[in-house]
Amino acid sequence: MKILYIEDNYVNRLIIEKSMAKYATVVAEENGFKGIELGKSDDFDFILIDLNLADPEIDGFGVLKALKKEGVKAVTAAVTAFAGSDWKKKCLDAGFDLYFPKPVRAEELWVELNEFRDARNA
Amino acid sequence: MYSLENKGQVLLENCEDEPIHLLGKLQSHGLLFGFNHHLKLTHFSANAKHLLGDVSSFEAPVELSSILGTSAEESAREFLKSAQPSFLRYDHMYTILAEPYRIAWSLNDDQVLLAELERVDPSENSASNSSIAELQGFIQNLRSYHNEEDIAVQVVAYFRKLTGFDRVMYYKFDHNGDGEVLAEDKKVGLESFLGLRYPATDIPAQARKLYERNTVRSICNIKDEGVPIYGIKSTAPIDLSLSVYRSVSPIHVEYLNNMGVRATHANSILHLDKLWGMIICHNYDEALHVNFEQRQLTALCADFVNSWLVNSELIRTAKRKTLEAEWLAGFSSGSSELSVFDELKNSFPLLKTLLGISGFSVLQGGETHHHGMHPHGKSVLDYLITNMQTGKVGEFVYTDHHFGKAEATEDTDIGGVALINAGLAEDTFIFFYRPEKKEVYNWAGKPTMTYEKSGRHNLNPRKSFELWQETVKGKSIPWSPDDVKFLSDLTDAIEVKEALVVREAQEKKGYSEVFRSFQRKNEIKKLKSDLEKMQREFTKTEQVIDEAKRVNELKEIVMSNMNHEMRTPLNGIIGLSDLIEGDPEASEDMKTYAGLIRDSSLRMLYTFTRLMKLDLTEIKADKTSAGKVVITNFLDNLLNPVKAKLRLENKTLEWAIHNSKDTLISNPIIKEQIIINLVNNAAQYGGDSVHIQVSAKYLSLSGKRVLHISVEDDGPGIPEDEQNMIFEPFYMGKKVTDRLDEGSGLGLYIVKSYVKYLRGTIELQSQPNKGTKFTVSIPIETRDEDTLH
Repeated sequence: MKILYIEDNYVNRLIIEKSMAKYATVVAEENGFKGIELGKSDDFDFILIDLNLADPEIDGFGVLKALKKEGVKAVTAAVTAFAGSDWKKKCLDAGFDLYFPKPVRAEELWVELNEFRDARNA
Repeated sequence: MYSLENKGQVLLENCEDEPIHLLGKLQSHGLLFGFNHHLKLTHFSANAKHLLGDVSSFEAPVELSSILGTSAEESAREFLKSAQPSFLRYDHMYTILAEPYRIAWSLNDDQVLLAELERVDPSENSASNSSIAELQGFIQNLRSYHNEEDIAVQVVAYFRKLTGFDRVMYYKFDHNGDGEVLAEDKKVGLESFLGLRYPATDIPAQARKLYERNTVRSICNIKDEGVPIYGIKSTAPIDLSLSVYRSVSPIHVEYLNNMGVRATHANSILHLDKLWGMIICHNYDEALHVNFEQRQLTALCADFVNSWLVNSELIRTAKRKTLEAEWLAGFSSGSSELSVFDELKNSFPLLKTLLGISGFSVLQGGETHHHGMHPHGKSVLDYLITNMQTGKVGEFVYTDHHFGKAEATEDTDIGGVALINAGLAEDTFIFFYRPEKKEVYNWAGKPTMTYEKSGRHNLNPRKSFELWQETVKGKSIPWSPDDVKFLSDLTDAIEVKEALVVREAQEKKGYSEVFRSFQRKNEIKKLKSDLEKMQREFTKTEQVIDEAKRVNELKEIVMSNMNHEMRTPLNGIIGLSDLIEGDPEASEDMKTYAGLIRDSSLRMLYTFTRLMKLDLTEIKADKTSAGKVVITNFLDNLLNPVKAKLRLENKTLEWAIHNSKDTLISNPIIKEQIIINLVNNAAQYGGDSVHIQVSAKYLSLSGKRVLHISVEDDGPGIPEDEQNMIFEPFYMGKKVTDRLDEGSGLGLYIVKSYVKYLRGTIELQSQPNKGTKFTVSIPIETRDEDTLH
């Protein structure tokens, strides 16, 4: 399985890359636009997006919107240090399938992503 | 040179219009010169021509001094400086053309200076000393007499002695102008005229006016034709009003002739410059010349009578005014409770004296009240009102005889009546009645027949002076000007009093009105100020709310930032630690260390998260959340996973809802937190195989609905000395726990904060080894929680 992780923070990218490596192939991308390009190819199972991207021109929501517009079929998840039910609601309303407040543990992440995918495919 | 003799025939229709002052003639015993203000001759009488000397033509103006001498001229100048209207100045003797003359100066209305001369008879001088002594005696006696009649008697006696006239009369005029002979001194054998009345028409109006201006009138001889007066340049008649020797009007001559009088002398008695009476001397058979000095003495005597009159009138008026003032003061200060009628009744004796009334009536508001003499029929009063009313309130009418013409059929002794209307709010008619005064008038000749018709188409003055007696009935003493004035004052007093009473009542009402409106104004003011205060407070509150909102916003920003900034590095620490721990190439020590790093960080995260949970924005969301849960479902959903987890630890959890199982629970998240924290606490401190029981029930305490939630365990209990501390933040108990991944000491602090937020209470029951029971009481706000049943 393939995971696309769009995140501007090096440490976070490193952690996900390394910790998820045992479950799937992880592509970690720093830039939002580049991330959209990558996502368009549509061969990812899961796309994880950090909301707080460094790029002033686009944030996590913008990336999601673009990807959705492209008709990307992957399970989308917001991964963010913005914690709280408000944020959860915001993300789900914006079209994210899942919401993970940081810090997120790899195992939990993998389980939930698959549960969702299975439920959706069923 | 023109003769100014008025030769026009006077027709008696207009005898009042007869220009008696412009007759242009002089009695023969006097001489007259007229000068202009430059003292140039303008007029002279025919008999003075000889004093002009050689003057035959009058081209050149003739000086006064050339006729009368320089000292006379000086006198004339002096006189002119001080000349006043109606002022006649008697001067001393001058010798003109070797003869002694007395001069009398006057300045007439046309500004002609008149110099009237009379030749002095030397023999007359001796009479003067005794006459003056007699006058002195008369004046001294004046002091002892207090009424006019007594004085009149003295006056006529003096006059007769002085002048020697056959008859001297003191003549007094009444308000109509009719004259009555008050006193008389006459020659023995003559018929007495004492008490006789002469009609007013005997002295026509212009004659009266002259008597008022020129107070001494001597007619020496009615048979004297008189001498004409010449005007040098002017044809205009010369005004002889102030002349001493003015000739007699033909009508007057005829009148005197009809009376048989040959010579007459009259002095005017004046009061306040009006003719009050006269002292009249008559001589029947012979002419009688009253010389200069005698004339002066008569004038002096008359002046003294005038003074006495002034004095006596002043005293009389003052006495009257005092009485009037007494009455007015009494009336004004009397109680306002009494009616007008009662007030008048109370003061009737005084009113009687003042007004000469014998009774009065008051007609007010359809009611009539009488006091004293009064007419017996109401129709009379109505008649009077209709006939006498002027229609204006405050005005009034009065009569001394009208009453006789009223429709009264009763005998009344009322002669005169005065009617006033003294009401403000309504008509208040007050009738004052004067008793009839029967008078017998002895007219000297029928008063209506003062002039007789003759074939000459003019009226001649009456010939008949035969006694004609008239009995006057139905008349009262006429109302004098003083009476009229007092009636006016009385009307005013009544009206003022009424106005004051009304005003008092109005003022009282007005005061209470004013007071009430003042109160109202005050109340309004107070309300306004209260309102302003409230508005200020409201504004303050708004400001506070705004402030709070801003602070809240700020807090939220800070919170979310903090959240983010905490989580991000924590994520890094935890994640990397995990990586190290999971790296097969790491040594056991490094794995252990990494594990410890991760656990420490997790604990930090946990604490941080618990702290964040106190943020009420979460709670707000809780309150507005649409989905309300039934309590049974709520507890099941909440506690089932916990029960499963605790079973792994060999701990049991049970729960029950004792009543109102269908109640929808409000603030589920907060209640969730409360229960979870209490349960976790029990699990953490309860020791191994602890049993935890949660129960919920609804109660009504003092009329308020309350939800009781209790969490009970059979653990070791909490020592009493720690029971207060456990609610403090970060307090972990004295017993050290080695469980690092749980417990922050915040649990009970959170529970306490949430319970406080819900306005509830929390209670602890615990004894060592007897277990622990926490009971939370939360009041139910009925709008938040409703029951399904």
